Amino acid sequence: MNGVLYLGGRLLKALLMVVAVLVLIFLLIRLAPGDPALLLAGEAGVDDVQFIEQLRQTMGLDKPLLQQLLMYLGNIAHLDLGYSYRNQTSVWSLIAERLPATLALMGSAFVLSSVLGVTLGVLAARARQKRHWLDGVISHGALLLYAMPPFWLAMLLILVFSVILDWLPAFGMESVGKDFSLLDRVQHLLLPCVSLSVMFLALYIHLTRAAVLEALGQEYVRTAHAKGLHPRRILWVHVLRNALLPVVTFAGLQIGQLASVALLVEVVYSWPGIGRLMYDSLAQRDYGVLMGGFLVISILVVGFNVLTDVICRFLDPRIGAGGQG
Amino acid sequence: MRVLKRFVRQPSALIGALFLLLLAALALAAPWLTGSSPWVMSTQPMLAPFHDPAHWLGSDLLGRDLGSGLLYGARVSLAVGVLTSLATLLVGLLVGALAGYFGGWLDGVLMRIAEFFQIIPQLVLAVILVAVLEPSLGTIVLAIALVAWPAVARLVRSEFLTLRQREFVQAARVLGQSPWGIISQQILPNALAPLLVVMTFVMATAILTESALAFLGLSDPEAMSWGYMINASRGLLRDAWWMSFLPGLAIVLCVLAVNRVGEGLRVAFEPGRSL
Repeated sequence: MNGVLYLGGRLLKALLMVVAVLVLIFLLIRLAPGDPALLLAGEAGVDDVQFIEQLRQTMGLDKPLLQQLLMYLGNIAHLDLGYSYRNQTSVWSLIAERLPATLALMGSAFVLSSVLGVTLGVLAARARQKRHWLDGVISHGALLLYAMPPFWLAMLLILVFSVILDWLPAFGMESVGKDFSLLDRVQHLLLPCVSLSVMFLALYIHLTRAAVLEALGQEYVRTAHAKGLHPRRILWVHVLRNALLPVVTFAGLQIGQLASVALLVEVVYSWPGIGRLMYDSLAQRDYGVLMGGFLVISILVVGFNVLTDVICRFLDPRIGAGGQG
Repeated sequence: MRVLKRFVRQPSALIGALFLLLLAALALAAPWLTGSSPWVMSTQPMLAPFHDPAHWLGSDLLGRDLGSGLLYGARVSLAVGVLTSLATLLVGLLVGALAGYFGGWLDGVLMRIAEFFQIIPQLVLAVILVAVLEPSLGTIVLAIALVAWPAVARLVRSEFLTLRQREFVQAARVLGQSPWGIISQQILPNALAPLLVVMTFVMATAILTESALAFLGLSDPEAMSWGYMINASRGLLRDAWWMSFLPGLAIVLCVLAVNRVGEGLRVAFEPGRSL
């Protein structure tokens, strides 16, 4: 029962966050200089008087602000994110078409950065305990990776692996004019995925290392040693489970950053996802698509945040005890 | 004084600080150091580095001097970094102090708002803000500060929560000092150390975010910046890789230096806890 209550409360909080994003978008469009309808129409749609008039009607621009907000929320509830005049289709269909590519990129990068980052973090912590040089290599490497602008790193990877070595494609999600093949997809995904992972890999290494070092100093570790458990088992099972908690919490908080960096990576590799769509809309001043993309990405991020919270509760029964979360 | 000594004794922090000072000096002296404005076509296009002593870092597609661009770009990066840290400090102090000192429902509301800005995709929001408001140095700082303040606010709040319970603050309250007096004279001086550390973190993030915005085409049209330089030469990666490599390297060094200074400050302030 406690668990159900917790989940309900968590979902309610997520819903409030999404509503807050919607209010933010609504205010941005209204507060921007100029006519909100002209802004939303994008550069291409501005000349069409009929379209603008229709847009004014849908937005209810002649009505009070609060009523406009309610109309806007009503439209969103019906999955109506507006119409892109430039692309002659609804904003939602534009985004829905590109959602899988973004999910594939973000998902693969998340798995790569978290698995590799936690592993390297544990290795670094163990090396530090033994005063081994490996710790210096891993932690300084992480520092360097963290300072790199992701879009620049993406360009360097293209330079090395596509231009100089000619091993991997640097453009798009699949080879043009070829039948679907998994290998082709993986080859196209590899560079974007690594580019997106690097910054988070560095963060996971740093965080895991600190958490493991802290956990290693706890009494239960000494007890486990005294019980005669194998040191490797203590490190990878007992210590890691406790050290993972801050890492998972952090992963939830950081997923918005992952989506942000994904936008940059999609631009560099012309990856056909939401980020690339938003970048193109930026150049065309198609603000309706831009806002729609922001909304959908935010919903993804908030959803993932709920997921990590639930995982945390599962990892640490203490959080759940008494329903305090 | 002891803090300064502990700071100087860390080589990486010292090198970082010296690098930033040098960069700031170079940025300030840019008009005297370079023969030309970074926007002026001053030589043949696509000159490779180390070929012409007058333009020893080469030139871009339009024949604009890359060295000049790098120096003027340092101005933008440092200015955005410093201004954003100051803006987030202001907002973070106000929000964090209100939440931490008064607590209750105010604390609840303010921290929910902070959490909101921490969870949503921050760069994406900054992109939309700058696009809607038209890119300028002011709107760029505003947009980055809007997404960066929660880190400072949360820190200030937690400092206030712990310090509020301490005896010297309790004593000041019993002696009848006003809430504002307690905040400014008792609590703030004691919260200074962690604040400085988190400000370096904000500065590094701001420099990276500014470069990302400029890379997406959202830079002040008046100011040459490193991100703009990478954006402008993006299509030439195959033929002239140095055009995008050099500004990127400048960003890496600058961010690395700021991070090292932050880490150095952290260790200098709490010598017991060095992980």
